[in-house]
Amino acid sequence: MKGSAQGRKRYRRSMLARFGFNFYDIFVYAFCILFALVCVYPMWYVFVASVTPYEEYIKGGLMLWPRGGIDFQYYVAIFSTRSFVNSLWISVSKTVLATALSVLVTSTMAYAVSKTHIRGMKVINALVVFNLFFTGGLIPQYMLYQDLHLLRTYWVMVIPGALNITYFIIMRNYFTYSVPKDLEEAALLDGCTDVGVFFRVVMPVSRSMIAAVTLFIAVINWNDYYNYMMFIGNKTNLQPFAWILRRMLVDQSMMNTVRNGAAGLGMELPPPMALRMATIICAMIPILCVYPFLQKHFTSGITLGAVKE
Amino acid sequence: MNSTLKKTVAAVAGLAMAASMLSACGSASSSTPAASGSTAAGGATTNADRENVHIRFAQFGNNTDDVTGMENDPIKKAIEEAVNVTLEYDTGTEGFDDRMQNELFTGGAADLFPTWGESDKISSWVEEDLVTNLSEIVNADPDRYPTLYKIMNSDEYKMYNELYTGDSENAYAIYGISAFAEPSFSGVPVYNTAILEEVNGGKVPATVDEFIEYTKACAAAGYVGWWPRNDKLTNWAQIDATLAGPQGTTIMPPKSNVWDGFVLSGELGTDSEHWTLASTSEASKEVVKQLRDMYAAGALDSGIGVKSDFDDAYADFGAGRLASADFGFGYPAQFKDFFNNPWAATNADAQMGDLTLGTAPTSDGNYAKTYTTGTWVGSHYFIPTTCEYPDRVLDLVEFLASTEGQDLLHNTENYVYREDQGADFWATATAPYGYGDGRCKYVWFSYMFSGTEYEVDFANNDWWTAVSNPIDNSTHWASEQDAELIEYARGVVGEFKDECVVTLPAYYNLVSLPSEANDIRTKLVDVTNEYLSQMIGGQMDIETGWADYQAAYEREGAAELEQMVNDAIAAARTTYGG
Amino acid sequence: MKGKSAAETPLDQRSLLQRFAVYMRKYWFIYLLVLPGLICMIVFNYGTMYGIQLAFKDYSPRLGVWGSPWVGFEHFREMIADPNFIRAFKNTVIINVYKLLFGFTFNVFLALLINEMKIRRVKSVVQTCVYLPYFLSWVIFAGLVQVFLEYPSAADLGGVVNQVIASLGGTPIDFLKTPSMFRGILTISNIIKTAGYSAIVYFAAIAGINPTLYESAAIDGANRKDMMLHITLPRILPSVAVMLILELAGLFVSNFDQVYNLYSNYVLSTGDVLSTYIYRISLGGGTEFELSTAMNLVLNLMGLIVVLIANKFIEKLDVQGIF
Repeated sequence: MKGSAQGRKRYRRSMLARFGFNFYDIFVYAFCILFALVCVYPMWYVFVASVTPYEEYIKGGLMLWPRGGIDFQYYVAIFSTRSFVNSLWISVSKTVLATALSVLVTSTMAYAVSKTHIRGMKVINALVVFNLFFTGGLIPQYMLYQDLHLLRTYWVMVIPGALNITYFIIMRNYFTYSVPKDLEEAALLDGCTDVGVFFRVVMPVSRSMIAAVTLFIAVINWNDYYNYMMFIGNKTNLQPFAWILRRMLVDQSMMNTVRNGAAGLGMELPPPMALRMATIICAMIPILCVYPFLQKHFTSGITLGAVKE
Repeated sequence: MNSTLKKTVAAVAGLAMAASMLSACGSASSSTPAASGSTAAGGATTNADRENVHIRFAQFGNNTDDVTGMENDPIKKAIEEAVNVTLEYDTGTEGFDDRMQNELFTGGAADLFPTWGESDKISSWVEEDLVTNLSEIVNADPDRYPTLYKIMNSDEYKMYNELYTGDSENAYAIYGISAFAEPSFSGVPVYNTAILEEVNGGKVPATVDEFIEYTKACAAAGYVGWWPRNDKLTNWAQIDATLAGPQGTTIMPPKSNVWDGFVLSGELGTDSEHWTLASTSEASKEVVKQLRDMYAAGALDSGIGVKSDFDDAYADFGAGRLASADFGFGYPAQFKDFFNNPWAATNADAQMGDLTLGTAPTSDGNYAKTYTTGTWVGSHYFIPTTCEYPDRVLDLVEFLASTEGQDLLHNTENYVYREDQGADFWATATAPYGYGDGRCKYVWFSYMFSGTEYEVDFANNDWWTAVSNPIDNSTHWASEQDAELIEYARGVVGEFKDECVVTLPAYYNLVSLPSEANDIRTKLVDVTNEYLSQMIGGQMDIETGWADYQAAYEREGAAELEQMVNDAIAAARTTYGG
Repeated sequence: MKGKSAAETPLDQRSLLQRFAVYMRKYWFIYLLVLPGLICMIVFNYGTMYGIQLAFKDYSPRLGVWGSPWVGFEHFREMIADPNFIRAFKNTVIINVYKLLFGFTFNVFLALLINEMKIRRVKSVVQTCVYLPYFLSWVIFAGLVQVFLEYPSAADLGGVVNQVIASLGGTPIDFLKTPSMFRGILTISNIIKTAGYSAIVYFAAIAGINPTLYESAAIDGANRKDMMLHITLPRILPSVAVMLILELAGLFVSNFDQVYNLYSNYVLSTGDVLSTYIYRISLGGGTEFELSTAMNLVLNLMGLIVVLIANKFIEKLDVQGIF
């Protein structure tokens, strides 16, 4: 659109409108910018508060910039807690494993099922989607994991989620509608086998979609504490970071450990509120790191898969 | 679409069947009861000759976050070596009891796990064949389990068997029961002396009214008036004992003790004794109004109930923002812990006089009554029938009950404290259990035989004598200042202790409620937590809300519960009393 | 007749088998690809379905799921008589209706307005900001909500919102403990967290609109607001309809993550939803195995019916459905 002459013309016209006083434009910009601020200011506030010395923090007010210097003492307190560091390792490893497994299983199945002309695929598709709306429930799940000897093990956070139904649907729609059929057919005519088509045509074409889905599933796994809470319950060395986070932020059962640890390092006993803020920032950093990649991908294609047009 | 739908429905049914077959096979094989306690003849076999097995040992614990400390726990290593097993600790606090039961019901219980002594729970487990008959294994091989053999064949032990399952000859649990070294009761506030001087000229509030006035005055002076220990607004014991008890009522829901939430009338030990459920009484309504007013005035900490637990209270107290707190100071050692943890940890030049232990508030000269049976029923330990080597688990228990095991846990030699090794001996083991006083609280095994954390001598005593006369080494553990703190608290509490503590007749130990009663109690606890939270916080009008509260109680079966409680007590009185 | 068919049957079978073999040889790779997912699905998704019979049984651990005696619809009767279940059901539906009324319209509104921004840099910055909260977990988000709404005490300042209220001379409000506000907090926090991301679908639809439509409208003298109302909006209506139907399909689905991290005893009356209630009576404190399974079954069936109806509508709209 930008490249066409008409597009340029239209753009110029809107530029003109921009310079004229226009109540409509003011409303549009004010509203959007205000909402954008509502979305990000809380995070900025928490960051500022977490590096502000306590004497300054308790003066209160809307903090726009760190006052009275920057102080990372709360981060030191958090990272000197062993179970905190241990949980990071658990979360990283389970995120990598679970994501790899999930993407592999889900994408291959989605591709196969997108070949609706092959017998059985329609039925399999319906069977998968059915699960999106119908589950056995928490207790049957618990009993199943007991029978499979998955309860209270690391693997309960990795294996059961291998088939991600939401992303199955998205990928299936992508393979059906966005991978050019003539490419596949041309390859088959050239004497390529299904194997060849899959590895040499479909996979390269879908590379960016797979990358996007991988990131999305990784974020889900990183944020997951549900499996730990329900099916592991209490194992010091298996706590994922998201669970530690909950214990710092929501029920605060870990606050004492961190505070005593800090006192053990000769620091002044940190106030719980400040530790909570520092924890929020620690939890956001990994998401912020991958966010540019996420954003690049999710506007192109991934959500389009959910609803055609 | 339509034909696909039909095929799908058929396939769903088929798959569910197939999957269920798979899991049914799985569960059948995993829930097969394992070998009973058959052992090789010949007394020469020792633990070293037996198979090294993995034992998952579950215990209600208070600190799970010190990974290093847990890994390097010297007690665990010593026990593993002595019994030739691998130990896995499994602990937790929130929802721990429920998790134990869930795991048991789904066939995945720990090899040795505890629960509190609810008789209906235990008898239903036995009925369902979920827990192992320990007597059968122990009696089959007295040489292998000498201590346990002696314990389980004592008359008192058999009496408890009778109580829990109606079968005196067979024990299904290791009972954790003991006499109280010191009666424990709630409702004694501790004050920050500096604030007490500033606001009240140093005068300790003696009555409920004075106490309420004091906390309000503190709020007006810019402090938080009072923190009654209350984690997530579900633990009403401190508020209840401080305010409601002296005024002759209770705001507690029926909870752990049979008589919690009830008020006594008539004479104890006779036909006239009657317990009335008082949680929703008019008198309690007045107490809740007092609490609401305190809350609104900032006299009651506003942080209670939502997310904060006592860590926040510790922080506030240590920083001098909190004027008074309740943590169960009827138990003198609690005062010492409180002094050391929130106060001395944050205030480098802490002096004993910085804190003032108050008195239990009175109302019209009445103290809050704390009823006790004189004995403490701790956690009872079970071995599930799904455990594949109950004999080896009992080897572990036998070791812990033996002189050698008790000596190991308590740093003693033949029950005598080893002064030469001192408190430093356990320094590395201290951290994981969350205690910083240079001694091992051996929390993992402390409640296995007796309800206290003290050593028990089974070698020279019968079971009942041993558990009701635990050996108190705490003077050895304690530093000079700690001992002083305990003495101070003991002295203060001693002045009104007898006014507060009422010892119930012995048959109260043996009151057993039907399981429906426990269902009702669980629901009533939820109702109370919900209504009181809102009424105290000012989100619900007390005048209009109270009728709903009473109605909710009635709907969940309050009247039936009152009947069941009185019937159960009467039954115990006629059977065991007199 | 009879003898003939008997003689022919094996032949037919063989040919069937042969046909199958040929088919498999042709498509073996596709079947191989579907296999891992199929196994996962059978084990982890359909494997739990046998437990549904708990809803009709009196579970005894000794007898196991299969051996426990049947009790018919007793647990369902119990469920209907349970005031807490009814309350959770009501709360779930009300909260979802709130999210639909306010959240859903807000999403469409936001998409249209962002689209109206013509300064590209501002637009992309705004987009970057509004998408971000979607990727933070509810735990973090609940932490942010708490930090902002905290009630002040003598010991602590309170959250920013209350600080602002106090500085304007108002009385601080204990937001998270006030039942009448809890649903509002859920709705608003949900909007902040998901509005940006939900708007993406509409951006996609807007991108598909032919630009010549706007040009001819401009020649006819239409202003931008008219163009938005008469060109953009009608053309994204199919997408709006699809999203609306999908949203409606989740009428009985409650967001465990959000509610569990924000609620407390104080606000059970308006905030306790089905998923949190089912959790509390089963693994989170209770042992109501059968009752919770029965509740789950009923909710699933109701949800499934709604989804099937919704899918019919989506098919009518000539867009790709979910099945």
